[in-house]
Parts: sequence; structure tokens; C-alpha cells
Amino acid sequence: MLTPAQEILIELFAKQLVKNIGDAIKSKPISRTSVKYENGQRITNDFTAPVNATGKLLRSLRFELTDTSLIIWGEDHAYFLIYGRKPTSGKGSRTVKDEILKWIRAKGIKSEIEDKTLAFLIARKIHREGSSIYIKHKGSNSGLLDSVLTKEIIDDFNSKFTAQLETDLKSEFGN
Amino acid sequence: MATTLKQDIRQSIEQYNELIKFSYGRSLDNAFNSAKLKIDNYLVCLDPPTSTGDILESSLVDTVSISWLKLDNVDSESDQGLNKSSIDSVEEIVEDCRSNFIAWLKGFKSAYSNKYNIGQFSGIEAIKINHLVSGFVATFTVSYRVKC
Repeated sequence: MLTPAQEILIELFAKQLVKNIGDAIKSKPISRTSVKYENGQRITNDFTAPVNATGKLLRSLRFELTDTSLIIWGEDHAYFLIYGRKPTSGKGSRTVKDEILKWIRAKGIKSEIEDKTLAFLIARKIHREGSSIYIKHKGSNSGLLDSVLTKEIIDDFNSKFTAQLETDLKSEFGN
Repeated sequence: MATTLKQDIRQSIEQYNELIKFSYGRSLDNAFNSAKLKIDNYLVCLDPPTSTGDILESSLVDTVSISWLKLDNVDSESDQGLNKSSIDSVEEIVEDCRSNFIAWLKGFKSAYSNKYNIGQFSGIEAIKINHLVSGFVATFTVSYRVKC
């Protein structure tokens, strides 16, 4: 059983982790590559931008503390913000188009094309080429959460937490 | 009859302030449920329960943690409108708990100077724990004065 002081330490650590993840989603610039076609030529453009759009992922972040583990929960699509969405074979998913429509409206994107048609076109592009994060990183880690759990953060937590355990460990293994 | 460190600390804390609800050997959830805190109460949790269920007193030095906590929002049983104005800010609650801990520790050192040596304390702010309390978590060493 964790002691109250240990529980408090872990909860404070978890809150800091969730905040760090939220900050990364909101404001960490992630390098990406966009693709367009002009006169039959494929043209790529590198750019950086934070991944946050609708705020849905941010609102979903929470932690759970059990007797043996600390779990950070968030929406499934966090995976695609880290590794990108690769081109799909087959029919693709309607979900992507729906999510892109929400993204267009959240970002306030203005176009001569109607929102739903624009969402369809973007979804089709992703279906064929993959997302801008995937195009840039080719399925490797985009680095979105690299600074969330640094050695300094872990060391700081360990030094506070293991101080609480020191007496217990001495009792288990003998002074 | 000789008293243990745990008994001495408990007695000292309960004598320090009658608004304190003391907890030992319970998880935080059980401590909250048992204490039934009101806005003017303090919940003081003493660590550590070990595999033997007590603070280690077999060695000459023990490390003691004390979590000094207070509600940081209205409790559900009382009138929300009235109590909401009585709830201090989280910063005020943390400072209040820290000050109370320091004042208690000073008194404990003085009252038990023949029995214990108390080391320097270190502490951290505990903010919005379990969506219920905030306060101060302190750790200090206690060694026993060896009788010659």
C-alpha cells in the first residue's frame, strides 16, 4: 500500500506529466511536409506547426493511479500526432473526413470550396499520401512528447519518492 | 510505560490543535472517508506504515513524513454559499498548513528534547490532491537520544 505522502507525490508527478503533455500538444512546433500537385508535378513544402486544433485531445488527458501503476489516458488519435497517419489502401475511413471537417472549422480555415467538400479533398489526400507528419517522418517518432518525460523530471521525482521508501527498504533488506 | 515515536507524535499533534483529524496507516482515500473533513479541519497523515505496520524504531534514525492538509473547496454537506466565502485560496491553504506544521514541529522538539533529536525538515507543496485537499508534505529525521 502506498503511504499518503507517496500518493501525494505520485499525484503531483502525474499532474505535471499531464500538463507537460498538454503544453506539447498546444504549442510544440512539429516539423511536417505538405504535398501539392501543380501541372502534374509533385511539390513538397516543409513547415513546422503545433498539432493542437479542436482541443479534443487536450480535454481527454487524465491520469489514473492504481496500486501498481500510473496510467496517462488520452484520445486514440494521439498516436497519429506522434507517428503520423500513413497512406491507406482500400476504402479508407469516414471518421477521418469527419475529424478533418471539425479541424477545418476549429482552425477557422476559409476557402472558396464548401467545408464538406474541402474535408473530403483533404481526407482523400491523406488517404493517398499520408498526413503531413507521416510524410515528413515516414512513420518515425515526430518528437511531440520527447520533452515530456526527461531524465531531469524522472530524477527529480525519483529523489523525492525514493526518500519516502528508504526506511521501508532498510527494513526489508536489513540495516 | 514507555511510549513509541508514533504515539508521541500522535499525542503531540492532537494536543496541538483540536481541529486536527489524525490518520495513520491508512491510504489517502480511507483517511478522507474516515475524517469527514469540514472547512476548518486539518487532516494530518503520518507516514510510513511499513510491512510491520508501524514506524521503524529498531534503528537509531527514523525518517518521518507528515502530510498536513486542508479542504480546498466547499464540502458537500455544508451550505455551499456560506462556506465558499470561507475557503481560502490554495496558496493561502498551503502556507497555512506549512506554518502550522512548523509551529507544531517546534513544540514537539521542545517537549521531547530529552528523548529525540529532530533533524532539519524538507517539504513540498501539495496542491489539489484528489480534487479535495491542498497542504504541505514534510519529511524529517528523528534519532533517539542514547542513554549512557
